Amino acid sequence: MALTIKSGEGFPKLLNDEDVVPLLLSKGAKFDEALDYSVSGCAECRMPNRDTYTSPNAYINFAAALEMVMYNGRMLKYGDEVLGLETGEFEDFQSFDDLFAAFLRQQNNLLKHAFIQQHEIIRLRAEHFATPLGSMLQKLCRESCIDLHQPKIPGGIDLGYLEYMGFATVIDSLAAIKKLVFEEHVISLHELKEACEHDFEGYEVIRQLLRNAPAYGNDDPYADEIGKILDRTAQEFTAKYSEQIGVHMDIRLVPFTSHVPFGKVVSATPDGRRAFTPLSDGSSAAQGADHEGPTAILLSNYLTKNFDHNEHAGRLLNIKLSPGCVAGREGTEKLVEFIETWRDLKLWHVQFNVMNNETLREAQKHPELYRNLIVRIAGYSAFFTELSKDLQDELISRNEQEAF
Amino acid sequence: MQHALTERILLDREASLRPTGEWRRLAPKNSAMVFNIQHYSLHDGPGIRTIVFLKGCPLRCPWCSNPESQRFGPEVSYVADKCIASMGCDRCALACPSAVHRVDGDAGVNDSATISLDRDVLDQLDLNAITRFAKACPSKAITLEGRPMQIDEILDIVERDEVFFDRSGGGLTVSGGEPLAHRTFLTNLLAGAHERGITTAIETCGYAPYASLASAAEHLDYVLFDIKSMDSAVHREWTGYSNERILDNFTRLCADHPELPKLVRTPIIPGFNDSLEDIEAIVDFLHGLGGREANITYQPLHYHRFGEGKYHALDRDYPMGDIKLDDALFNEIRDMVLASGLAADALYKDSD
Repeated sequence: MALTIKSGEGFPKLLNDEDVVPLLLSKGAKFDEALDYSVSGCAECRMPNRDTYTSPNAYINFAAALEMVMYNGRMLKYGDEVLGLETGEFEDFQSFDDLFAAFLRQQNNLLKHAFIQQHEIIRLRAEHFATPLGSMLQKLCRESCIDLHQPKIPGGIDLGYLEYMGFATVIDSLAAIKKLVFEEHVISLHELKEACEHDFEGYEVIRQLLRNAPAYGNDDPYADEIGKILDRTAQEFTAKYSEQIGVHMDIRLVPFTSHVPFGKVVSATPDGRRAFTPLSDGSSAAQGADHEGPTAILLSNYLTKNFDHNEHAGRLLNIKLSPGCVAGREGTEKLVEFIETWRDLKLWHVQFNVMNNETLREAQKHPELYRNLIVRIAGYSAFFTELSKDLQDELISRNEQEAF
Repeated sequence: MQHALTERILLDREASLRPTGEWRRLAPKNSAMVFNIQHYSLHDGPGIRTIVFLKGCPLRCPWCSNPESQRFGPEVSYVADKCIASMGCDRCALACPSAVHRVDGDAGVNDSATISLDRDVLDQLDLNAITRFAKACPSKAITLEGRPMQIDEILDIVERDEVFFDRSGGGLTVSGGEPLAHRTFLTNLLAGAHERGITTAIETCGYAPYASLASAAEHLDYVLFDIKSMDSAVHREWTGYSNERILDNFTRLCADHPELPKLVRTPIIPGFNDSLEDIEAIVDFLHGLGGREANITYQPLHYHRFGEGKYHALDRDYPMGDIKLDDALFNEIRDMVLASGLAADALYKDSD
């Protein structure tokens, strides 16, 4: 498997029984059913003949919730329309705790509306949808003579989920505010808001300060502790309301490519992200925010998970590796060891993108997208995109020499 | 190698060993200057490791790919590409006006402004002042190389990677600079790692009193030891010191710790040791010390110039120019080492 990953095709994706199986058991599956899950879609794990979840899920833009904290329930793109809760003027927050509490209120408010919406979807689906062929193929539906679109199927397990969009964008923004505004007093909330309103045009100093604040993906407890609270708060909400209103939605971090369109409605954020650019992707670090390498990415992922809650679904994680990290027999062994550690950490999914020379050429052309690509050579380290063009070329020719 | 360069190397070494400024006085007790802690290190000992880079080295190898490691005191790197002086930033100049010269762009146009640093002024700053100066930069164009860290502070960071060590057989590697230049600190750091159940390695150039190596070896699970050339005069000309002490240290280490795994490495440098004979001489020396019996493996390292940008960031010239190592020759050396029976695991390809 490691040799296949090394070939640089981006396959296979790995799913982790250590996370998936206990979760399915906790949802009521029998041991054999849990072990017999199959992978569906990007990174979902479903149990044939037990899993009855079919409806489209909610994608919630939590970077928008952050914007609503900044503009008292409003978003720049939508003018004066109140979209969220009016949590007060941004400049008036006296402590990070107050500001964080306001964010969590906005987060819960979006969750609430998603649950109401989902409740209606489930009701309408049962009234208007039918899938006779699909239902005939499903053992539980067949036994009870009931359509798969009905909300309650005897013996069924509902593995519905909602999508937490912009996980790292939110964490990094809150961490930057905590550090720069409330701890180091380098900038004020007023200055921060002004810079974001202007999409950092003329505010490059502030943008750079924000970009270099503690960020998710670096095994930095400063940022990861915020992420863990976000995850826990969302899971507690879903635990509380799932049964009450008959909607089951666990917290998932698998955005496909939707972090791009979702970013198009969110103006500049306090992590230094420019207006209407993509949000962070799944459980990956924000674009260019991780600088400590792949072990730190795994640890941040691990440390933002609440293993004592079971209202979670998949977490998608993509890791880019430069060829030098996996070169030779030793490289193969160390890739295996890295995967084994990923398994030990009980993370849901991982997929490796081992850069070949073609993709390294792409990285030369678009350095912004490849800022986290580390180069590993004995006794020396650097980021690929920080080498001069000349040296990048040399590295690429070395790969031809050394890899595999 | 030109004589002038050797002289420059020696002058730089002298300057770095003299404790200029106040940094030594202001550093906390029982601390050492650390310029990087690197996770997910794959080529510096068994398994997946975390490297702690200590600052300061007695040698001045012109091919060194970590020039920021050479001097003992703190210094700053400046990467112009990241600088936003052209966008109105003057935070470094506000932090230390005399250390920064603003270079304005053409005809008063500000958007191509850049800065240059006055190294003489920076060298006189005390530890707190230079730390403040580096921290003032919002874009990390200016970064501090070297901050004093204490043993527990370092081990708390290293220990976070323990889950990777457990799986891979990795652990802590102390590199430099030259870790043996920090004798007491190094010994305590390695012992502290062992107390926490973390395995240890060092990367050393071997140039230190044997007592330093001996006390470190008591707490080592693995050694990466550089032997650069068997030719004493050439060694002295290029690195600033002859090789007798290094070879003697390694010989004694093998005698005192035959069970300790020792990976000997040689960077193959054009003009310095890039011949089959040079490397065969090293292999013969290792065989003479017992070879595999003394737990010795060997790895030649391909010369690279990826450190060049770091020299510029320190306002130094890159001593090696754009010289390149002949790949065919390196492959020949690799084949010779594979045939010698001493080849390190890292030399094998999947297809071997």
